[in-house]
This record gives sequence, C-alpha cells and structure tokens, in this order.
Amino acid sequence: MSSQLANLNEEQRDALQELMNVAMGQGADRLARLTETFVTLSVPRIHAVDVTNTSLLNQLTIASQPAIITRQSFLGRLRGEVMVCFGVNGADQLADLMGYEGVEKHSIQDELMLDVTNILTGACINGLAQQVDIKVSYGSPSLLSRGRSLQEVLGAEELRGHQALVLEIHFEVATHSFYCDLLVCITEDTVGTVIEVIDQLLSDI
Amino acid sequence: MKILIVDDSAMSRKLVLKALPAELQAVVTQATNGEEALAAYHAGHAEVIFLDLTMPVMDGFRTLEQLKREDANAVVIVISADIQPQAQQRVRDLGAAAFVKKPITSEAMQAALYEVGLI
Amino acid sequence: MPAELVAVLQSINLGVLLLDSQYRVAFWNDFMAIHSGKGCDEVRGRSLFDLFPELPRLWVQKKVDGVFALHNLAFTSWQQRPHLFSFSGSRPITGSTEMMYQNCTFSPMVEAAGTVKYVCLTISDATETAAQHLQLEQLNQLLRAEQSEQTRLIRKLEDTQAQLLQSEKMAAIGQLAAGVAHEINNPVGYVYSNFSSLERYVGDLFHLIESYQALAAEHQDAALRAQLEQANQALDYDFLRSDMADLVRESRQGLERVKQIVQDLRDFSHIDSGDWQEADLHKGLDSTLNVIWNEIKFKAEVVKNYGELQPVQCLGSQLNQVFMNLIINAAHAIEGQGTIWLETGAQDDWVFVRVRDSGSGIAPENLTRLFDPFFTTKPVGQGTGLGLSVSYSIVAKHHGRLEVESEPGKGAVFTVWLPLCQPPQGNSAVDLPAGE
Repeated sequence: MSSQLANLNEEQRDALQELMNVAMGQGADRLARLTETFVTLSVPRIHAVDVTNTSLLNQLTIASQPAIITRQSFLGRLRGEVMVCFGVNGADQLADLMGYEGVEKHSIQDELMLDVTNILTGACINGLAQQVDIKVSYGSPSLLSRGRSLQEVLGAEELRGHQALVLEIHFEVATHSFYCDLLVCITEDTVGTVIEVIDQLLSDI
Repeated sequence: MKILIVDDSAMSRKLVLKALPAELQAVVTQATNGEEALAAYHAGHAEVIFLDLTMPVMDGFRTLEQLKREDANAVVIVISADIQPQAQQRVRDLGAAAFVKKPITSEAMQAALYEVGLI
Repeated sequence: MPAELVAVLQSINLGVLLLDSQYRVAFWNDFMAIHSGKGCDEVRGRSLFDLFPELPRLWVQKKVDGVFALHNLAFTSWQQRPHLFSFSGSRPITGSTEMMYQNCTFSPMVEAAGTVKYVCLTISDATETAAQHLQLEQLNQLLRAEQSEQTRLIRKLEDTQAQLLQSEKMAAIGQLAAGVAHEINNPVGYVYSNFSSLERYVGDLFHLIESYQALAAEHQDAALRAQLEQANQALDYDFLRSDMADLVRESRQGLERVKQIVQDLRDFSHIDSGDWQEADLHKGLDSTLNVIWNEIKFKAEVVKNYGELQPVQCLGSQLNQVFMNLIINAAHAIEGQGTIWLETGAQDDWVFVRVRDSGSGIAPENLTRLFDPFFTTKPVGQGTGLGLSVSYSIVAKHHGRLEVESEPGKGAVFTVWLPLCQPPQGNSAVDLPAGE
C-alpha cells in the first residue's frame, strides 16, 4: 500500500474533504443551471485503499444491490476513473431534462445513462482539477456492467492490485426522484499531485 | 465584536478566520455543527455568525430555522460550497443576511461584511 | 486561423465543425464538405438544423448547451446512436451497410477569458469497427441458437435413456419373475392338488373316528368306553378336531394366494400371447366394474364420464386387468367413503381412459417408484405390489403410455393412453400425442 495514500493525516483528509465539497458545489451549481432543477452532490466518504480491498467494499455505503454500472476515465496529471451506479431504471427519470425521447428503447436508455455519466464525471472532476490547477482530458464513457452489484464488479480479478484514492459521491435530483452513486478513483501515482496542493493550502493558513 | 464560526471542517474554519479583517477586533468562537452553534449563541458568544450549510448532527438550514424561530438578533452570513440559486434563495428566506461562495477570499469577506453593514 | 492549423484540419480523416451558441456553423473542414456535399463557405453562418434536417433537434441542442454550460466534453457512440449524420457508407462496394457509423465528440473551445465561444464537433468514421462487431454478434447468436438446440437434444436423449432404463429394468425383472414363477408353479401345483386329497382324507378319517365313537358309545363295556375317553383326552381330540378345520382353511387360503401371485407373475412377464382384436373399451370398463363391484360398492361412488370412442385394437382381457387394477387401487386409496371418476376420450389417433379418485393421494417420493415391481404402500400381506407394474407392462405392450398425477391429500389420476391401431409387426416406434 502506498505510503502517501496510507499516511494521509487528519488535517490532510479534512482539507481534501473541503476541496471535494467545494468542487461538488460548483459541479452541482452548473448542473442545476443546465437542467433548471435542484441538484444535490454530496461527498460522504473518502477512502485511500486498494480498489478491490474487501474492507473498502464493506465500507461503501453505495448500493450493494444489482445495478447498472458505467465508467469513464479522466487523464493527465490527475488520472483515474469514475464509476457510476444506476438503479434498475438507469437514468430514465432524467430523459426529459436531457432532451431524450423514446426511452423505452434499450439503446436510448443506454445512451442517456452514458450521457449522465459524462456530465457527472465532468462536474466532479472539473471542480477538483480546477482547484488543484491541473488540466484534465476525458475518455468516452462506456457500460461496465449490467445486473451485478458494485461490490461484485470491484471484486473481479482484473481490478486487483490497483491502488487508488476512492471518493464516494452521492448524486440526487429530488424533483425527478433520481439518485445514483459515484465512485471516483484517483490513481496512486497522481494522488501526489492532489496532496501537494493540499499541503500548500494548509501551509498557507 | 463577538464572532461565531460554524463549520465541520477545521480547514474551512481556519480559512474564514484568516479572511476576517483585523480592524474588526473580533473575539472568535468556533463550532462544528448547528447544535454547538446554538449553544454558543445562547451563551452570548455570537453577534455575527458565519454558517456552513452541510454539517452533521444539525445542518445549516435547520440552524437558520431555529434561529429564526427564536427571533435571534445575530447577523448570519452563510458560507457554503452549495451555491445553486435555489440554495441561495432558501437561505435568504430563512433570514440569512448574506451568502458567500466557498472558498472564501478576503475580498469576498469584505464585500459580505459591507453588505450587512458591519464595515 | 494560421494556415498550418487549417491545413491540419483539412487533411485529417475526421469531420470537424465549429458551432456557436445558436447552433450555427462557424467552420467546417473538407471531410464534412466531402460527405455532405456542401463547401465550407456555403455553410458558414447557417443553422446546423437547416443543413442537416435529419438531426434530432432538441437532443442535439441539449447536448451542445451542456458543453457550453459545463465546459465539458460530450460523446456519442455508434453502439447507441449509429448514425448521427446521414453520410453514405464508407464501403460502397464491399460493405453491407448503407450509412456511415459514427463516433462523435463535442468539445468546448475555451477562450482566454474563460468563456466558451464555440463548441467543436468531431465526427469519426467507425464503420469498420461496427461492421466487424456486428458480424461477431451475428456469429454469437448463431452459436447460441445451436447451443440451445443441442441442450434440447441432450435433454431429449436423457429422457429417452431414462425410459430405456426403465423398460430394461422391467424386462429384467420380467425374466426373473418368469423364471421364479416357473420354478414355483410345479411344486405349488402338487401341493395344491395333494391338498384337495389331503383335505378329503382328513375328512374321511374324522368320519371314521366318529363311526368308531358312535359304535363305542353303544358298546356295553364301560371299561372300553373309559379307555377310549382317556385316549381322547390324552390327545385332546376335541381341540384337534376344531383346530384341524382352521388349519385346513388357512392353508387353503395360503395356497390360493400363492397361486394368485404365480399367476400375476406370469401375466407380468408374458411377452407375446393372446389375440389382438378391435374392442369397445367402454364394454370392457363396464364388465370389469361388474366383476369387482362387491369390492368397491361400500367405499366409493363411481361417476362415469364416457366420451366418443372408436374401437381400439387391443388384448381385451389384459386391458381389463389394467382397468381392474386401477379401479381397485383407487378404492383402496379412499379412506372411508369417496368417489371414483371414470373418464374416456379421444385425441387424434389416440384414446385415453382416466381413473381418478378422491383418496389420500400419492407422496412425491413414491411417484417415481410406483410402477416398480413389488413396490407397495400397503401393509405386509395386503396385495402383492405387482398390480401397477403388470399394468404398466400391459400398456407398454399396447404401445401406449400409463401416466399418473397426484398430490398428497388431493387424490390421484391415472391415465391410460392407447393408440387406435397397433403399428405393423416389427415397428415399435410410435409418436405419442403432443403435450404428453
């Protein structure tokens, strides 16, 4: 386990939490303006672990029920992937907001979910990237898994050994009864960038 | 001037503290949630309250509601990361005198204090 | 825009166009010009939706608005939205698709001041990838169809194998039974025929003794009478006499029973015998009912629900045996009083005879063993346990099917399916009616 990740002290954690809160606030604001609704983006927890760590999987407040899970990469000096867990109805409730018609069709449902994934990823990562003053680029979103729970998917062999800073984010549009959960995973090698900025901030106070 | 800073994040409280202009000659108390904030208010430590919105135990909205119920005579300036228009509106409806976006800068602090007539 | 950059944009194999916040085209490159048929100068300043009426307007607007507002990238993938722009396929001769498959990206062009002036839309030709992918999908589907067909066949094979095992079992037991029956038959025959004589002789002997006793009673010699009396006492003559009757009766019953068992065994193991005739099954049912009426009249009410039946080619007496067995079983299954339903009907080239009872039903674990020889749920001494297995082999001999449905507490239904005609000699394969 990386020393950097394992040894985030109380102060640094607190600072990171604040950083994420502000980032989410900006993201939520932009989304709200775009969709003309009230949006909640909250950051419940921050973990610094092996992505497949079983204790992480048990700690996640995120759904352990079967879900539809999408993913999208962010790349650059801040690198990692965001995973979004939708319930069985995907993002159907947001169809009108996003200008989608004919959501009964499978392909439209999928496209809508990928669109929402893209927007949420951008909202969360842009805010963070901006505060740590890093430029980030994005891959296109894709479907990771259908019908399995997040815990099952993370438990899969291929993911073993990936160390990351993991942030749980809960996204809600109450007026449309829409909820989903995000897992932001920042790779171990780029977490340092974030920590440098945090340390800088802390020393400034 | 008796100032109360309410936020569950230590770093955030420090940032607010840092942004306060020296000439206020402030006596500062800190609280980590709405409950502690109300206790401090009742103990007479709060003429001006800098209030975060997202806190455990009792959040900023409920704190504002309670202060309004008690017809509190403290000036409340909300400092929050949640800057959506609806949030801002709701906060003002609940009696906040001003709203400042996080992260707070000394300029923004000046503007807010000016808006509420403290400087 | 510097000449080199423009050159790059024109030469790359990607569609590039710039849209302003009113969805008007500010610029597009050669790729776009070639595929749309309209040059860059022609389209500058015009609305995207005028130029491409096939675009889903609201959706595209939302997508572009999102980029302007959030300063984010946005994507479309050929998998969810194969053709955003209706450009002709990029394999006009060897391709199987009419239109170009596309992956599109919307990106914000951020100015120095931080505002977004244009959204840049890039269109990438994904036809090759899509075609291969689709082909693989097709192959997969074919494979899956084959696989499920195979699974179905395997299941059919398993069923057939199970049936074969059952009939082999029956055949093996049949042979054994035939052997045993044969061995027992003769000795039992002797005993049975000797028994009659024995019975008669014993009767005669007692007669003789009675004659002696009568004579002795008339004799004057008291001492002789006393001696005779003593002899009687010593051997407990009275008891002997009465017990003898019981012994004879019980032994006779035992022998009858053994004879019946041997007969059943022989019937059960009978391979080819009897005359095949066209028979009216209803007559057979009715006559069988008559024969066994005494056995069932106190236990059950019989309800007949006869359909239209053509004459059936069969071994009449053997089928009657089956009916008798089923009806008697039904009666025995009823506790106290109940009902037995006899139902007949026809379907295609088949007829069925159904015996239903309101008895206690059959437990699921017994259902599979029902037709096994010597299987019985009755207490020891009652029934031989051969009835159903004999019935089963008789029905099989008729190329029919004997089926049972039952739930504990809900009675049982036995259905005999019989073909109207037997297949010609040597052909043992007959298709069963659908659904059975």
